[in-house]
Amino acid sequence: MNCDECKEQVFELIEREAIDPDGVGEILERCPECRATFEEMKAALAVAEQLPIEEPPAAVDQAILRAASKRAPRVVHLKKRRLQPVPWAMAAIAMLAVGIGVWTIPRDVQLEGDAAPSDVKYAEDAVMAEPMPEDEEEALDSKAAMAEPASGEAAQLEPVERMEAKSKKLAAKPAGAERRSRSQANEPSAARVAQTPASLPAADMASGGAEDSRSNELAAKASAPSKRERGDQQVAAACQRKVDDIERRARADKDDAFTPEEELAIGKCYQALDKMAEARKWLQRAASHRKTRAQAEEALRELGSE
Amino acid sequence: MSDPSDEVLLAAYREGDAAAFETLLQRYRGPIFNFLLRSARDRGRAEELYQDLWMKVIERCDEFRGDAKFSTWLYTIARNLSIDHQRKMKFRGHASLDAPEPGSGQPIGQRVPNPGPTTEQLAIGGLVKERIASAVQGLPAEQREVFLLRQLQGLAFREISEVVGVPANTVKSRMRYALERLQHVLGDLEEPHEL
Repeated sequence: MNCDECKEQVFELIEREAIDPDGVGEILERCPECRATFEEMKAALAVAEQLPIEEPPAAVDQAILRAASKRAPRVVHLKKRRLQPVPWAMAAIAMLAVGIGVWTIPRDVQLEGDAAPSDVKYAEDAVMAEPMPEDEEEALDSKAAMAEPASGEAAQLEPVERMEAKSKKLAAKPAGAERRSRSQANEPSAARVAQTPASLPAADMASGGAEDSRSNELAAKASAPSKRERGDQQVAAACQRKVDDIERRARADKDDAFTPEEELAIGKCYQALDKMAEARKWLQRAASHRKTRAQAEEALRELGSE
Repeated sequence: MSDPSDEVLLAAYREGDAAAFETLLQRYRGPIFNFLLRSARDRGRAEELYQDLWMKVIERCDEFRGDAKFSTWLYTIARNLSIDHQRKMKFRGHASLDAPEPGSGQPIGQRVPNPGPTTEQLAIGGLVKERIASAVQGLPAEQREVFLLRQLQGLAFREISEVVGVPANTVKSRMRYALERLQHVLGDLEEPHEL
């Protein structure tokens, strides 16, 4: 061991001296400078041992112990967490359900939207003879907008908020339109109207462009629900599926398994389905949370006015 | 049967065992209070820092992941509190006790005993202890913290290096310089056992 190493390890040597005095003595014998450093450090440490030690006040210790005993133990949180579904998992499931619903709805609507030739439009106009109120137009526009991202990730990742807004608009739809939508949902399914713009004239050509063939086809179209009305039904069906799913979860889990946002969404879905009692119950639950109070109270006001 | 480790006690406290916390407090109350006292140089301030430290331990005990020893974690918090306090004192315009006094060239902390000895203390040889205390307080901050961590708590140099954030060899050098300085200032106290 050279002098640098000796100085570097002087504290280890001091500690080692207690158990191996001969070994340490042998190392220090070789170099008087190292021995001097060793002795100096030992002496300084002996003096430092005399550093006065003071006690903290007992009153402060008592205050600290009181604060320590007031802290809620973590075990309670763990137990509570075990009973509750993981929030992100719940959110993911909700998003997935909405995504699947939205993905399945607009696929057909877009197909029809793309294949909206003038004669199909004519058939629809024939069915919808009565003028449509402005707010109904707005609701239908929103459905058409929803139908646009028919495929791919955009459709699947549609935010829950948009879905809620659409449900709200549907709820605001006049009762006449709702009735029409419901009665048509009970009708037997008619021949599928949707055809591509290219295929429709081709079919006409194949039949020789006969007027009776065309009139039969238009009659079939007239008896089938229009594109817009089918959109209503599909959105309502999606909402119903969502509500069914929620009810299943509610039966399986405890009542506190829902986040305030989910309670609000459930309430709005019930509202859209005209299940006012259920809607009120869920909205009131949502209103009891600070996060969703404002939205829930607004929805409850709307519910009251209805 | 050996005593439970600090880490086991902290885990027990996190699960709601208040007695485990009391055991931890009993283990560290003396050394940690003296570390803060010698760092803050004022008993009242040291008591505040001591209370703040344990409140932080209570608040943050869930953040302790066991990567380091409990003592390292505890002294890291204590050191940070002490550094914050020193910064505040500088901001308030207090003269640094480490800085050489204009004229004499000697640090104030080394020259002035703090707190001043009473008549009784003088009578029972407290003056010598106070000389040692003021000599420790007169050490440069980086040497003093290493000295106190080693001397009061007996932390290993590797552990001190984790608390202070410098390599272990640097810690050893600081300790050596601190002891050389103390030996220089207190060299006239030839036989420590007679103190």
